Amino acid sequence: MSGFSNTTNEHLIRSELWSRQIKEVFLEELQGTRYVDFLTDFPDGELINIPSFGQMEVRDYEEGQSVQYAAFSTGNYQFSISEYKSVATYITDKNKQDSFYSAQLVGAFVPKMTRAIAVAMETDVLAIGPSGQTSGDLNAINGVPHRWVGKGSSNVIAPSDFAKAKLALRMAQVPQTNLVAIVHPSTLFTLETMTNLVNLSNNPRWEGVVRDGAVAGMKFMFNVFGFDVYTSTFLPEGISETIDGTVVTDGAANIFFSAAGGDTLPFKGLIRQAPRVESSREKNLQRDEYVMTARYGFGFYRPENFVCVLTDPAAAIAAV
Amino acid sequence: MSNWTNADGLTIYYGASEATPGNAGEYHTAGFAKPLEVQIDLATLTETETAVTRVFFPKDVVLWKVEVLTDEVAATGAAIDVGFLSHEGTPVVNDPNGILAALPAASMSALGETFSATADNLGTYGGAMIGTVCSSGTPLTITASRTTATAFTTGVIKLTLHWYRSSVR
Repeated sequence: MSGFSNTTNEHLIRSELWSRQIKEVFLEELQGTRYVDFLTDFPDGELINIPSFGQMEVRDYEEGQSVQYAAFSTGNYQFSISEYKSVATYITDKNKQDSFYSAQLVGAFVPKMTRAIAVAMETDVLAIGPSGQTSGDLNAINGVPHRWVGKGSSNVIAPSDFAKAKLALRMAQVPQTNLVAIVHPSTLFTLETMTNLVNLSNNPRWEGVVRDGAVAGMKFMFNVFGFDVYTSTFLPEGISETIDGTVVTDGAANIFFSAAGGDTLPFKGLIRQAPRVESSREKNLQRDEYVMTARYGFGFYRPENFVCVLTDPAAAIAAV
Repeated sequence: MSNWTNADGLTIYYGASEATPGNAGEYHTAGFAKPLEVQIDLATLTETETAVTRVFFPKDVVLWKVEVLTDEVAATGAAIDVGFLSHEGTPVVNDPNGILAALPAASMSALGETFSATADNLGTYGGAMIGTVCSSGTPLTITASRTTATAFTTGVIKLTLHWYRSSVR
């Protein structure tokens, strides 16, 4: 007696199938360029000078004496286009003919290229401040540091760091509107798991952070000392330095500033050439080529409108 | 005094230091020469050459005469240097006693006492930049310091720098 079973009819079984569906990686939302004041009067050349005006001094005057004349001091901010990026790929005719996924593959070229350049720009923007400050230094302005190591245990963030960042900005005469903090995800984790917030002994209804978490989408559901708080994994990491006697190893930068807009923003930028895709047929090699290039630059325009708090992500994760 | 010099090379003054009255300026005069007067409080000087005013000395002009008038008697300190420092990262002009070189307290020991120096009569304490075109292509910061560790407890002088722009050098 005989019949069909997997053991006798393996020819009729497709042992391995390939789905029409393509699995994409998760992509983080990009936000850095929102906080860049883009120049509009830099159509050519590689370097632009932006003069800055200082403050005028008053003078004591005595009757009958000649008044004294004096100029106020001036400065000069220089900005240059420093980055020229490219992304390029190709697909051969043979691969296009043989690949089941060639249509989706070619369709993904431009979005993937655009994303690659956008990520490079995001990383560059978020690194402007931390790399523009003097490492291993408090970068004090008007007596208040603009760079320090998180005051929580084992170099994690503490709520007081937010208050101190606000103090630093206020003492530097920075507008106290649209305060923004972009923090490392481990910093958010530290805040969400602070003992007093997750202690349920006085919170029998599981309210507040315990119920909702701190974040809805990209934004905190509440402000911390006036800062709208966002998270990003594109912030500089692997920072090891000693500030005011405190050592941080493999630290992450958490940045604070006022996004009041326009000329008050901490970063200047220019995109001389937006990401531009070009494709061509290479008949000698029997393939289609795709090239994307972009040319841009970012600069640290207002260091006084910037605070960097270094924290230890590993310590934050290990703390709970 | 709370201030901060940013990457633009601009010093920003905060709080009360922004309201501090200036101690230097130029007078409206006729003629070729211009006087820039700086009031220096000797008690604030240290051994480190430090800017004594927010007013800059003009670039590319001849410092032809320097005058010192004692407005408050100098006490306890030994002597002072006054000079120039230009603004480049590595200053082209860095002459901390180019205006006054070790002017002793004895020359500032009586009210109304004066000292003057010109290129043809530098005296003992006239600096080497007197009579020269003081230039580095940028304006110059006026610096001052005391020459020894002993600080002045009192003393105010009015330092007048007479300059003109030469058409031949």
